[in-house]
Amino acid sequence: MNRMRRAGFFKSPIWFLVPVIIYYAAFWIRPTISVIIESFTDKSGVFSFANYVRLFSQKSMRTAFLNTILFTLGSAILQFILAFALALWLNKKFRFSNLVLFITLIPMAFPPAAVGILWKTGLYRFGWINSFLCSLGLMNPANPVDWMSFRNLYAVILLIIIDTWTVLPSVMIILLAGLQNFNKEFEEAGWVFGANKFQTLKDIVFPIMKPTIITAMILRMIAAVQVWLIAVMIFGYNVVPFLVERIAYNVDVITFAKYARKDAYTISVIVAAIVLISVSIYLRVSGEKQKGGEIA
Amino acid sequence: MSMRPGKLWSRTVFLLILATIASTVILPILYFLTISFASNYEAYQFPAKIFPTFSYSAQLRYNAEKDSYTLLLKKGSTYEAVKTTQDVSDFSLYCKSQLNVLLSSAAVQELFNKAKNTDHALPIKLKKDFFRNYIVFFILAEGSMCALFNSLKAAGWTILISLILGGVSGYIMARYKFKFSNTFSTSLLVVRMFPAVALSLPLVVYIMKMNLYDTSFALAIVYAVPNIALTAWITSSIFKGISVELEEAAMVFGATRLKTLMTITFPLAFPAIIASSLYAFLAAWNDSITALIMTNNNPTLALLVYRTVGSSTIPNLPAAGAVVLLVPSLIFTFIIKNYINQLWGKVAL
Amino acid sequence: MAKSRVTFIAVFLILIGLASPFFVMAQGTQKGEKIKIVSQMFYDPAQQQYIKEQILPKFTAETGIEVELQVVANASELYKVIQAQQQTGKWSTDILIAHDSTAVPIVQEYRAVQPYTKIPAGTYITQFDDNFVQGGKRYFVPLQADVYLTIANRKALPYLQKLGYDINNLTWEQLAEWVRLIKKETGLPKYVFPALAGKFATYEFNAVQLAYGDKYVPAFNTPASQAAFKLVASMKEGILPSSPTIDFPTASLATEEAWITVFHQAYANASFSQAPDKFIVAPVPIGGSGKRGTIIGGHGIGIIAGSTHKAAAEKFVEFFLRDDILYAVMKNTGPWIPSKAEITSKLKDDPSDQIMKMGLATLTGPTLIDRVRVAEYQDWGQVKRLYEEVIGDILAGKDINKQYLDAKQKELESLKVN
Repeated sequence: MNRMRRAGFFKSPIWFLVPVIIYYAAFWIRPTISVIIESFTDKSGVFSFANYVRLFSQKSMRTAFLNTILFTLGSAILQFILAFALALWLNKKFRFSNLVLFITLIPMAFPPAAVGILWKTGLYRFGWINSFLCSLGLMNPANPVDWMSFRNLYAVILLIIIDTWTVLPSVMIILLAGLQNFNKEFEEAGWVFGANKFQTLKDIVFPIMKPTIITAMILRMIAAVQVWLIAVMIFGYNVVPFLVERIAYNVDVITFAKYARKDAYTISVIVAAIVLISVSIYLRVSGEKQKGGEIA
Repeated sequence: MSMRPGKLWSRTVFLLILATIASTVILPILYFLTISFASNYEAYQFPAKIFPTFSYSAQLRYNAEKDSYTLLLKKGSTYEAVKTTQDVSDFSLYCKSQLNVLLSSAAVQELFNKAKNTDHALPIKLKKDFFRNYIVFFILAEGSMCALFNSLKAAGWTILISLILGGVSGYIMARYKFKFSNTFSTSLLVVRMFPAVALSLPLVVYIMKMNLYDTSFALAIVYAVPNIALTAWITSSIFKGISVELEEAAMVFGATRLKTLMTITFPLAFPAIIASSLYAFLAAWNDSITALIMTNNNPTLALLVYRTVGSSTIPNLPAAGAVVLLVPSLIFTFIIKNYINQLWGKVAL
Repeated sequence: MAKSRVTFIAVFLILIGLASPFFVMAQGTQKGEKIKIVSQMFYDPAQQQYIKEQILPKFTAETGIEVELQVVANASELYKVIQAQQQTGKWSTDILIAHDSTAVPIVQEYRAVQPYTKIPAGTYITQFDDNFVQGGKRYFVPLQADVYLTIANRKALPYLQKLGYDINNLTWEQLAEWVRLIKKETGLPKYVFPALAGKFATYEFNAVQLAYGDKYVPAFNTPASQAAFKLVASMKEGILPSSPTIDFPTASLATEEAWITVFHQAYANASFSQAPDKFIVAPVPIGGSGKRGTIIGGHGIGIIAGSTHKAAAEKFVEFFLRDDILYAVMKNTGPWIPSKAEITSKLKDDPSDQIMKMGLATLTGPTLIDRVRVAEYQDWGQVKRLYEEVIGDILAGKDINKQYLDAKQKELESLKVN
């Protein structure tokens, strides 16, 4: 009896998680706790909400908040549709599919600095994007569009497009990997029973792909909320504020400001809270749908 | 008969999609490559060229009243005066530093003499030293081989740590229900939620205290933090997609759990594991922000590129540096792609 | 399939395995004495190339000491490098070439540089000594100085001729008129006012403010400042709307998107040297005070307090400040204003020496000069932000009135170090 219990205890899968937990305890929890404590204390180390109050009263923070939400929703939706379509298409083996896969993966390998140079040299009024559009006759070379003067919503849309160019392959890969497990016969069975393409997609592909889709979207949303580098490389600080861009601005540019550290840490906690809430909502909603589907 | 127009239609759509994808990906990259080969003078010309140039159409004019020479470069249908000088070495230096054209003083003197004896501007062709930007980059980036190995080491460790720790967690998350399984998987996500920009500051202080400062391994530790969670989530979603019945069937036939894992589950999840290793590799390879804080004498390649050409006001050298950085990661992506691809449609269920 | 997996894993093990011995070898090859310079100067690759190819080998040939040069892109990067070494207690840097605006935190916050016991021979400019000399001790010896100047595409000159003004004696009002005329005739804004966050907008404004008679910048609501902001606002239509996303004017000038700018000497030179015949360089314009005004900046060289190669570092400082070496560096990586009277007294007439002379005339002439006052404010990035907001508001068409500037002044004062 005793022996059985001991074997059961040692066979418990939790043991396999111990290394991960130790790793995170060592390298993640400590800095994170110090960040959280900093965010809830004032200069003298006394507990207070002052940091949060101060931040929420700033206009740039509200703009950053709005921009971040717009960016996250816009990029998540656009990237999901494109990546899913691309993954489904690439999953059908065709003549150059191998080559096309490699081509679509290239932007992912670009270092962030290179992405910055690539797009910045394009977005100048006399950059390559306008050169190309002029050579197609789509733009008047005497008075080309000044992309860099875009602000607010237009700038966010521009950033969504650039971000999509860079991260689309990484979303696609996850979906493509999920499709590997996908039994072609299911789809074919659907066809035999007279389902059209859309129905097959909705009733057969989506449910089977669900864990993968959820993973891909969650990871994407978490990354999208934390957008900053691309915005800073294209427009610089302050022009198109995002939440994490505010953190970087506090850490990088106004390093010695009275509240720079505190603000950076407090915004990180806010960002983490936002992501946590939206991910839980997303998980709950996507979980509920599954239940609903089962009942029907 | 009725199939024909439909087939033609789908073929056209197919080719259109192919062309759109290829051009949206390749076009920006072509322009980018061209910039990496451009001289300082060419870097900002409008309209921008899609392919690099090999030479300049130019004219050399002798100005009798000042006894000086003017170099004119072709721009559109006209010629634009760019440099006027009396001095041979000044002219030669200008060609080298601004045009990527290598001309010895003797060659310049010869051109000057010819121009002096011509009534109107002397048409000349200046041949570009095509790889000049890359050569300059390697002159500036001392210890680039060392940096390359540092990068490989950091990337290798990152992949190892993330795959082992993340893969195991992913499998457990997918296969077992235990008391805290949901808490565990959500807290893995929380790790990714905390913006790394803010965390790196206290983390670096901590790592310095562990005496790991300025090592590739310390970098890998930092890179692995978000990547373990990423790997765990990707692999667990894939493991969830692999039916448990399959594993059970194998175990019925007497296979141990480990054997089942190695022969059935692991091969099926292989593409996802490979995909995760690609993320880990790229996260480590392309980072310069963490490396900037955590290394000093042993920079990674990305940091070296950033340090040497990052502050240039003209984008040609930074582009060349980025291409140098890009080549290894493209090779890696290419290898990885084969592994993702290999299992296409071959999954036997 | 199993095979491919094995090769895949094998590749990694080999890579990591391969890396280690090479790594060790690379470290093992460092013999002889080697010093390391961390520098805020020579940010441009062309400048680095010159130093690495022409200057450092000379020093190695003379003394047998090898030198490594590491360039940091900006102040916050410099602080990161210093902070890391301070916290680990392992000082791998021996010499620091720092901008005068970072000298104070380097000395006071990080205590990274030691005072000179023996000041190298020569007559140096004293304009930066309030930062380089602290508590009566000299921590940095100045290397160079730079000022603001006007750079214009020759295509803009016919419009100036039409107005009948002389570019070498231009006033700010005339410049504004010029910019407006170009906008009127071409329909395009042709003046670039680079204002990327954390960069130069402050100093561009300061040049105008000083020329209008401000004795102290940063400032917002003095009569001189009001006039200065009004002047910039009067050019609004002629300023590139993308200016807040631009760090240096190089790209705008080279693509001819912009024709005119008043900017930092060293960066303006980058566009000028690309095609010297296309551009004309002139001193910074004259303001309402009847004088020119500019912020000046400069770099100094200092020895790291924790350096383990102090004797070698001292040798290098002595070498770098030698007349022939410093002149060559100033000429070929600038042209910049050399810090030593022994050099400036011997300048010749070629184009680069002429730019040096022009800068020197602005520096030592009846110009109204002020300094980057980093030490007087809690955080300089926030002071910069105030100025960046002004240009942003000007471009957005906001009225820059007394009330607006009073509010800015109040914010500025709240940032002061008590």
